[in-house]
This record gives sequence, structure tokens and C-alpha cells, in this order.
Amino acid sequence: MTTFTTTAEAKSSRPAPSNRAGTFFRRQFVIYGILPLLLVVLVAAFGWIEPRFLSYGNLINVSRQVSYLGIISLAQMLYLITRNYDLSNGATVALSSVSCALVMTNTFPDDPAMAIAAGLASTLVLGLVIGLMNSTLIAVYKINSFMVTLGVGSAATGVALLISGGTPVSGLPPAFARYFGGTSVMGIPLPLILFAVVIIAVYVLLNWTRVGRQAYAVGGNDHAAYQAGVNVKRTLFTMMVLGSLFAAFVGVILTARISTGEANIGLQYPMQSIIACVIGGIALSGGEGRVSGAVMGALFIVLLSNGMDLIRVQSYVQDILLGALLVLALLVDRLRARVRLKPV
Amino acid sequence: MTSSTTTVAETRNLCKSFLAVTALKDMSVGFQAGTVHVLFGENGAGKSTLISLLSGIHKPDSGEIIFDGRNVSFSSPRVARELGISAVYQEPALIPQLTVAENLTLGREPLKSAFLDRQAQERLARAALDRIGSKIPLSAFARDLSRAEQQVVEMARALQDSAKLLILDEPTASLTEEETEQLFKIVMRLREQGIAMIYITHRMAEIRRIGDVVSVMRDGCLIKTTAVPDVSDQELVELMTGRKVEALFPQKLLHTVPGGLELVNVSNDALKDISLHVRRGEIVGVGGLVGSGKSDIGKVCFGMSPLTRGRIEIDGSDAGPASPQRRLERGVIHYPSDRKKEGLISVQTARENVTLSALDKWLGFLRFIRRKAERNDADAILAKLSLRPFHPDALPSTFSGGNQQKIVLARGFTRPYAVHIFDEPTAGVDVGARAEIYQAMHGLAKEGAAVLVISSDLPEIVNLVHRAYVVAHGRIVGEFTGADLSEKTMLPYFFHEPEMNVQ
Repeated sequence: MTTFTTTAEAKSSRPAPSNRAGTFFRRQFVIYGILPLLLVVLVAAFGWIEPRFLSYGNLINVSRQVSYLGIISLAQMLYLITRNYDLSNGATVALSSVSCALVMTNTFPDDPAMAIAAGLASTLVLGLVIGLMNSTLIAVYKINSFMVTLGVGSAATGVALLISGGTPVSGLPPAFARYFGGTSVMGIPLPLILFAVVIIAVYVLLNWTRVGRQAYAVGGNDHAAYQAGVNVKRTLFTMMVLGSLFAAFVGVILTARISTGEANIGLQYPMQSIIACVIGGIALSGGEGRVSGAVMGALFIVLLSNGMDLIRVQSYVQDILLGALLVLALLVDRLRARVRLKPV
Repeated sequence: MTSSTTTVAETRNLCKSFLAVTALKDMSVGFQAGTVHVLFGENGAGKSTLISLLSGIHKPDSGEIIFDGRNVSFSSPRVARELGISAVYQEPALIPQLTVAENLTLGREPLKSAFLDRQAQERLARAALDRIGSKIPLSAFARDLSRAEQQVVEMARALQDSAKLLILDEPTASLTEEETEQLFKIVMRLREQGIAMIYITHRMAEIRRIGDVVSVMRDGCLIKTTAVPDVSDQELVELMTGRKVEALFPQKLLHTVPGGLELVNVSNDALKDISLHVRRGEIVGVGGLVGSGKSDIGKVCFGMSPLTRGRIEIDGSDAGPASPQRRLERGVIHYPSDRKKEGLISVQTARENVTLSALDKWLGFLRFIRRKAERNDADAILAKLSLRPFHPDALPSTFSGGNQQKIVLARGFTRPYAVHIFDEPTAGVDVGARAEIYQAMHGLAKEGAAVLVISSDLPEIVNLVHRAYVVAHGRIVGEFTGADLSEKTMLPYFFHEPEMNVQ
């Protein structure tokens, strides 16, 4: 039912004082869903049950974990906004880990700095190649992203196993692990700083640049975006290449953390990043979602599994809980969509 | 008209609010057997609310519905249907992958000991189609039917439970004139069978054509119920809008300046040898049947389809590569006919929809969007086009058809475009918003833009434009100005056949 309000009425969108609090909460609910509330409940509950949960050591540990998953989730978000999945991000992490480790151990034996630079460069190229492969198949050949990224991911995992011979690649330059794995700035671990940089970069990209705005439009309705003059292919290329670059980047900082190149890290990332995004209100139907949502979603997953580890919940039970929470988040999302239709 | 005066259904002091908004106030109206009762009003006047109460979708807050002499209350549309009130909506809702027979018996499939009884199914479906005199094959898939045929199947389905009151909500909105005629024949046949019909339309001509009684609604209230012959079009519009409408169409002032759009011998899959021109300052119409190729002219001008021969010029120079992005840069903008599918981004706000095609305009430092300037400019344009309700932050789906069209139209005001191409600019748009859209088009022409209007609505072309072409079978078959620009002269050209030689 559409209703006409007079312009004067419409302009004074300030709510009456009596229900201002209600409007505030409704607005927050529409924007963020129930996630902030769940996070608060989660932290309070675990902090109360298990004091170690809020200890400095555990928080540092959590902050590292959330940095890896957080960056991956933001990368996933760049795909989801355009109404595409990235099921290859885990394989990208693995292949990036193995290839950067191999490059570092096999080039410039006398110059660790050059070896590290070469390793980083190889990762950059890898992210670019995977992003270009995904986006070419999806944007140019119009193949479903679910299958494209599943296939590319499967192939990338195979390559990672093949070139590493299935065993961890060790013997990295010690400086690499020291600088990229262990560095802290004023007590803040490097991954968390990098995570913050990625958050700001993705936020600015999506909210303050043309290609970001156009990505939402393409995800919402690519026909209409095309007719509004949006270069749909270029938009898809940009978002997917950036998404895969971020995933490859996570491969590097994970490798630095464990000091070896591993072909089997990152297997959990495709599912976990999608769950983080969906819990954070990023629509699988494209065109909707906020950076803060993806960040909170990743934080939620990491806190939940960390807390449950601390109070020794079996990992099988953890899976059940996470699955139940995902379904709950989707149910809440339906409700939110209904509330959202009314102007806020 | 009709001699029968049996009142089939009646509402008494019906009221309905949604949240804090009153949608229907004190509605008392009666519907007689064998009568086509037209509900007329702007979007948001309460027509949809009234039929949603009558068909059992919503329950009234207060008031009564009397049907067949009894006070009734429906818990669901199914209950209403079983009692004899059925509704057919604007968009056909058949299952595309099922056959006509399967669609007609959906939810009431005849069974023979737990298995589907195909013969009985066909018998039931055949009877339903016979009742409205339709010869659509039962084995056809719904997806292969034309929209008119789908609408006919919908009507047949609605009438199955021996409906006494049939509600038709803008059934002709997406039909061609020919298809509309077929539908009217069925409506008249049903009238003879004594069925009471509620008919919602935005088209004046349809009220005259098939309406017996018309009720005008505004702001949730019944303004007036009267026999159709007793009221003039002018009066109807005044009753509906509540204000004196000078005329729906602005005065045609023509002041052309050099430049504009020119097509020279353009051909492609859908078009054959099209030559036309629109000067700056001029509004030119393109009429024709659905499928005649008139929409393809707009698409080719906007670079959505390539041309195999000929050339397109903008302000005297070649239009360049065929892509909407490039054409927008050249100053050509196209407003598509299907707002939902091709025009609006449903997940972005009205404001973001306006600025999408011209984001470059608001790029500032390091090519970041200057969001405040973007916001101010978009809001100013939407205010100028009197978007109602004025919620630039709301999603497009919260607006009526007319106001959605204003959002699409607002894109044309973000930059001084040289050529504006409208494809069916007022389909599904109420009269109030329509007048504002026409006004805006004339405003564009006055400021020196070339305006091309592609429309199936012939009166719209005749009254709006300075000059018009008619297209049939992908060719231009006539050009009309001055006294020739009339429905009578132009209509025969719509049905031009290639072998005929109309000069």
C-alpha cells in the first residue's frame, strides 16, 4: 500500500519524542540486524563463565584470528556485493602460502630482503591471476560464479599440492617470520594493523568511490545498471581482482605466522567467510551489505569458537551451534528485509 | 446498460489502517449484478485496499461487507473465492512451466484414488475456458502464451468457483490494443451472464468503453459514484485529483534550435531502413503496435543494440560506438519501459538511483564521491519533480508507479543531456503524476533538448508531441504533423502490412 504524505510532513522525519528510542533501535536493527546485540551477549557470557576469555593473552590471540578471517570476509564481500560467490578464496590462501614460501626459499639465497620481496611479488601476481580468471569466466563468459570459483579453487588447491609435493615448505628467511609474523606496534600485532588498513580501504572503496557504488548497482540489478551507463564488466573485474588479491595477501601473513608454506591451510575459509558475511547482513542476492557487518560477522565467528574452545566444547558441537546460528541469522534477515521496506 | 439492479455485494462504513496510515475511511458502496463498476483514483487513493478487503487478503478494522445478502468476513482469499468473490491482478500469476489445464486446476486437481485424474482435469479446464468463450489450447504451456492469453486464463481460473463478483485490477495494463479488445469481449460476455465486476483502471478511454458505473476515490474516501454517461472526462479528473486540472497535457510551444538526433537508413535485426530526426527543442513521438520495432528504435539510439547499416548522428556528428555508457557520455539518455527490470536498482535508495548514471559529476579529491553535493543535487531534482512521499532515502519499491517513474526521470536532470528517449513513459502511472511527467518533458524541450517519445498510447502521442512517426514491421510507415497528427489519421498506419502500399 502506498500512501501519500504531504511534503511538509515528509520533511519532518524526526520522530515524536515518545518513540524516539524505539525508532533508534528499529533503525539500528534495520542497518545491523541483531549482530551487535549477539556480540555483546557473547562477550558477556564467555567473560562471566571463563575469566581467561578476557585475558590479554587471549585477546591478542583472538585479534590475530579475526584479522585473517576478517580480511577474507571482506574479500568475500567484494564478490557477494556483485551477486557472486567466491569459493576459491581458501585455495587462494593455500596456493599463495606455498608459492610465496617456495619463491622465498629458492631465490636470492644471500639476500633475505630480496627473497621476501620476490615472495610478496609472487603472491601479488597469484592474486591477480586468480581474480582475472574468476572474473573473466564470470563476467565475460557469464558462467555461474558458484561453479567458476569452485572449479578455480579446486585447480588452485591441486597446483598447491603439486608444487609443494604435499609437504610443508620450510626454511623461510627468519626475518620474514620475525617481521610479518611476530611484529607488534605498541602492543598491537601486525595482522590486526593490516586488518584495520583493509577495513578502511574496503570501506572507502565501497562507499566513496564510483566503482564501489556501481558494484552495489550491478549486484542489485545488472540490466538496469548497464542501462544507466555502468561498465558492468569493468566493475566485476575490479571487485573480483581486489577480492582475490586480499585473499592471497592473507596467505602471506598466515605463512609468516606459521613459518612454513602449507597447501592445506584455508580450507575452512570459503564457508566461514560466507557465514560471516551473511550473519553480518550482506545479502546473497547482491547489492546489499556494509563493511561493518562483515567485520562483526568475522569477529562473531572467531569469538564464538575461541570461547567454546576455552570452555572445552567439543568441535562437533561447535559446528552444530555455528550452523544453527547461520540459520537464525538468515531468519532474522528475512524479518529485517520486511522492516526495511518502510522508509527509515 | 443493464436492467438488473440486484446488489451482489455491498460495503458499509468500511475502515482500514496500516500502521498509522488510514488507507480506507468509511467506505460504503454497492456492486450490482451484470454491471461493470469502475474504481477510479490515483495510486494510494484506497482502491487496492478496498479490493484487498473484498477479496479476503486483509481484514477491515471496522465496518461490514454484505455479500449475497449476508454479513460476511473472510479469513483468507480462498474463503472469499469459495463464497464467490475472485480477483485477477495486473500481472498474470500463472506458473510458466505448467500447461493451461494444469494452471486452471491448480490447488484443486481432481484425483482418482490418490492419483491425478487427467481426463477430469481436462474436462474441468475445458469447462472453465468455455465459460468465457476462449479457445486457448489446454496443452499449451503458460510461458508460451501472450500476456493477454495469460490474463484470459487468469480470468477463467477466477471464475471457476461460480464467482458472482469478479475483481479486475488493471487487467489491460500490459496488453496491446488488440489484446485489450479481446479482453473487453470477455468482460461484456460476463456482464451478460449477470456477473458483477469491479474494474480498476487508469485509462479514461476504458471507462467509457466498458464501464457502467464509476466510483471516484481519493485519500481513502469515496468521492462520488455515478453512471458513466452522466460524467465527463474533465469532471472525472477533477474529482480524482481534487483540483481543477487545466489539461493533462501542456501547451505545445515549439522553438527549435540547431542540432539534435538523426537516424539515416538505420537497419538491424529488428529495424529496416529507419530514417528519422528529432531537432533540439522538439518532442517527437513514435507510435506502433507492440512488436512493431518502435522500442528497438530507442534501443539502437541508446547503443543497446548494434546497427548493421546506416548511421546515427547527434548534433551533426557520428554517435560513436554502440554502448549505453558511451551514448550517455555523448548526451543521450534513455528511460526504459520496464522500470523494475531495466530502470531501477531495487536495493539502492531513490537518491542513489538518480545519481548512478552521472556519478562522475560528483567526483572530487582523488576521485572520491562528494556525497554531500551528490545528496543535495539529487534531492533538489527529486523535489523539482515533486516526488511523493518525499523520501529520497527510501527504496524504489516504496513508491507508486508514477513516483518510481519520476525517480528514473530524475536521471535526465543530473546533466544537460542533448537527447532524451522515453519508452512508454506513463505505463502504470496515475493521472496526477502523468501530468507532472508531461510537464517535465516539455520543460526539457523548452531548454533545448531533443525529446523522443515511444508510446503505445496513441492519445498520449497525439496530445503531447510536435511531430510523430508510426512504425510497423520495423519500418517507418508514416510521418505526421499539424492536422494529420490525430488518432483518426494515424491509427490505420498501425496495421500497415508490408505488401500494402500506404503513402
